Amino acid sequence: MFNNRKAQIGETVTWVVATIAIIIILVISVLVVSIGPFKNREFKEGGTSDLLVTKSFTGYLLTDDGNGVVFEQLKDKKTYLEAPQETTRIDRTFPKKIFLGLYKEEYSSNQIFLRINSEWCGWDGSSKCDNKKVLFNQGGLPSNMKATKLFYDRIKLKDWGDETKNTILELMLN
Amino acid sequence: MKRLNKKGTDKIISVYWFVILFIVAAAVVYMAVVFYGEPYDVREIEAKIMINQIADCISQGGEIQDGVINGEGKLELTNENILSKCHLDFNVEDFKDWKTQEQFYVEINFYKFNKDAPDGLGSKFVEDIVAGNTNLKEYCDKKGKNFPVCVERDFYVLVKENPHIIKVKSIVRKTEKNV
Repeated sequence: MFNNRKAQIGETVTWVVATIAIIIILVISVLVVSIGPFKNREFKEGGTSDLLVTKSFTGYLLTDDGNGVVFEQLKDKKTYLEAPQETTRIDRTFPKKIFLGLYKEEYSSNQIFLRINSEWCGWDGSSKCDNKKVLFNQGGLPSNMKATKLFYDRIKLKDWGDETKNTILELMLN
Repeated sequence: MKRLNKKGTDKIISVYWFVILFIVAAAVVYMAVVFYGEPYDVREIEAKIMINQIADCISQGGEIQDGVINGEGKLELTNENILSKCHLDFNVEDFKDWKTQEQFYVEINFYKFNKDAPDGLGSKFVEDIVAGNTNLKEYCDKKGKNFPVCVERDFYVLVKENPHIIKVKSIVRKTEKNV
């Protein structure tokens, strides 16, 4: 009789625990669906491309800023070898007005830059960056950046020898 | 005595099982309704696709396309031919009043680039191009998912080697199927 009662208590505890477990799992599932990412059903764009920024970038490279066509200036050895760091003949007002003026509301205005760099330099500062020439840099350097809404484009510049090997022009908007 | 007790326990367990089954089923139905009940709102993406299509139609390789502005600096792209020239089709499915009330609107503004202006925008150099339902424009200031979605984007382009900025505004209504 006493043994029977013990067995009954044991069985009841098992059922109570099982019931609580079922309820907890259900509540968690319902909460996740209700307040989780499924509730906000919007498509998010991904990738690092943006057609309009690419068009603006191409247009900028073909612009004559008063010192000549920007891309021709960038292909010139003097632009990034002989001029001191942070200076070039290139008029910086143009890229600032184009990329900051047009895209500051879509991207963070403090994380937009255009610079000449080494090909192996990661935009996030993961590899060593030479920062040969910064044409336009609004905000911190890439090592401080966290990619949220990122546009990234790069073009290879003319190879003048060892010093300019694998040199690229890169534009990033974050 | 023992046999009667066993029968009573079985009944209680059956009721318990039905209660649990009902709770689990209700939770599954609720989750399915929450997950599939609301439609995806794709209007912003639709508006951006329309802007990209127009940008591709107007500019190529950083310069304005042939057939947009003629040699005299006048627009060849007009309100009447923009849809056909840019391969856009504003026809929509026959749903509610969509056939009588257009669901799309596009507007293109051409500005000269001004290096001294804060946002680079100078004066307009040709008239605007518009197509679609102009009434949708008045909802752009209003916030809320029941209003049409407005997207405005700009890009920089060279017109005969001179820098310009083109603004494209795109509006998509289609509220009934996206909200």
